[in-house]
Amino acid sequence: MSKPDATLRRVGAFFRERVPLRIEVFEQLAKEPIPLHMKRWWYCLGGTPLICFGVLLLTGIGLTFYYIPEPSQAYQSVQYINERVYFGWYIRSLHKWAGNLMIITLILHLLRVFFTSAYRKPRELNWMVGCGLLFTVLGFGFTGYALVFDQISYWAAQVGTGLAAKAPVVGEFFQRFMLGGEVVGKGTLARFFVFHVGVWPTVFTALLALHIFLFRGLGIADIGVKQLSAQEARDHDVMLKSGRYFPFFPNHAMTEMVIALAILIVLTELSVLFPATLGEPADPLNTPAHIQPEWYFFFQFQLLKMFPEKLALGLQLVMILIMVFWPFLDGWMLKKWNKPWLSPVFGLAGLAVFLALTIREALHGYVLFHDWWPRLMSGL
Amino acid sequence: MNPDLENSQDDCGHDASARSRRDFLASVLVAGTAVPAALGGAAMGLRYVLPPAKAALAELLVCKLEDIAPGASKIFDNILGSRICQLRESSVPRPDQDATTYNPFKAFSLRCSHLGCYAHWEGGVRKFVCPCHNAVFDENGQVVAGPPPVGLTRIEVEVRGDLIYMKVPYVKA
Repeated sequence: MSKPDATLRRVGAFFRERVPLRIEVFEQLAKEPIPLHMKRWWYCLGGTPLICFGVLLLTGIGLTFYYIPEPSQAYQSVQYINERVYFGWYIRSLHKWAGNLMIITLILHLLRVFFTSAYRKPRELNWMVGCGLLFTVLGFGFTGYALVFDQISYWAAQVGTGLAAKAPVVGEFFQRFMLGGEVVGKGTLARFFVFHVGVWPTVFTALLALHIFLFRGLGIADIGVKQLSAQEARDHDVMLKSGRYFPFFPNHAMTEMVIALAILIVLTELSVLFPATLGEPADPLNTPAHIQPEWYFFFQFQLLKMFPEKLALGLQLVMILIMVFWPFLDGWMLKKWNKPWLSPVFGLAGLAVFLALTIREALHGYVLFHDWWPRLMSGL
Repeated sequence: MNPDLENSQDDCGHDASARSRRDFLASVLVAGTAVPAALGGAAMGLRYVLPPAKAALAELLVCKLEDIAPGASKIFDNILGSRICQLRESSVPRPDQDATTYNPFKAFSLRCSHLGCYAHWEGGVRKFVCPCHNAVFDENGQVVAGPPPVGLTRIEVEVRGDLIYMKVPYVKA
């Protein structure tokens, strides 16, 4: 045995004696059999938000090196990042676009799981954990958007927390809790900051661990393939030999890497072509004429414009509950009417409403900010 | 016989050894791109982590001539983030000083070049003393004793009429 080999062995032995983990367990985990349908990329969307999360984590740590969560300095510190720090604009743009892309990929993953009915028994709880992850990411978006502290983000925080106050019973408590005072200010920034960099990442990581634990434990939903017997499914080698499965590592890991690469390319392009900008500094005495939240809250914003506040909030609550408890609702409907096409019809209807309201708000904003529509109309 | 060698041609009729040459070229290409990209990325990451250095000088009006008597000193606090001590010597140069370039005004950033504590001016002995590790600088900012590697940063002073200006380093926008 050559000398480096012997040294390596000694180092390995040192850690094996002191770290009570068995390598074979990891080998077994890495060999997890993946059903053949996972070779299609749209079944691999679940990994994409995780890739975005990785980018967000790294760029987010970079941003906290310079960001100051204090009203008199927050805007200036973002400006400093954008204009003075070496490649600061790039790190900030990557952070912004990775956040947007994470929400898009989450929605795509959710749609895929929904329309392939992968949430059905025994995976109902994992669907709910997934919904929790989505809401956490929206929480990330809301708190992060306010930290920039330019006019739009200041007033988005003001409106957002004002909305919370309209909720019955707990509303006002909730608003004061978020604001840390009467209006958006010192207390708000401190709270939003600690939620954005501390609370949400912790909640997200915990839910993600639960999500992965559940889906690895239950196995990936088999689609269009005869289920193996319990005896067979216990033995990974038997499963892999059946020809209907392929190993997680290296085959599936490779697919995920290709997707990660594609995401990184898209992120880079977006960051370079459409870098994150900065509006006017926040002015608590001047509400800008037109305010708008981030696009993923357009849907909610439109509901508020179309219906009275209480009704809009009630509608949202009902929609959220339907979404979270859909696997059980779906199970109940299947048992009662046995019409498997009901679920996709409901899904399409929900998606259509979401898209219609989002597009409506987007076009509304476009008209407001660029006023091409009135000019076109007056020209006709 | 080794089954790998039985069929040494791939689907396109290429020789297996040719493919390994192609593999070699591919790995050279990949390594030739990935290694510089990784190194470049790491270097840029490092530069991002380091805040921008002080890069420019700002000329500031700091006081009137009469504010500092000959032989006295004056501390300027927080001039663009620096604490500066200005000394005024007698208006007549000593015999060892060049009369044509003689400037009775001298100013130094008081930040000690050792570990960044603030030194102070001891007028009686005409020395700058840093309390952290007993560094001593003379009235020209040069190290006399203690651990600092270099002297105090000198700030340029200019007198125009009865006004005193300093050129102070600051972070360039």
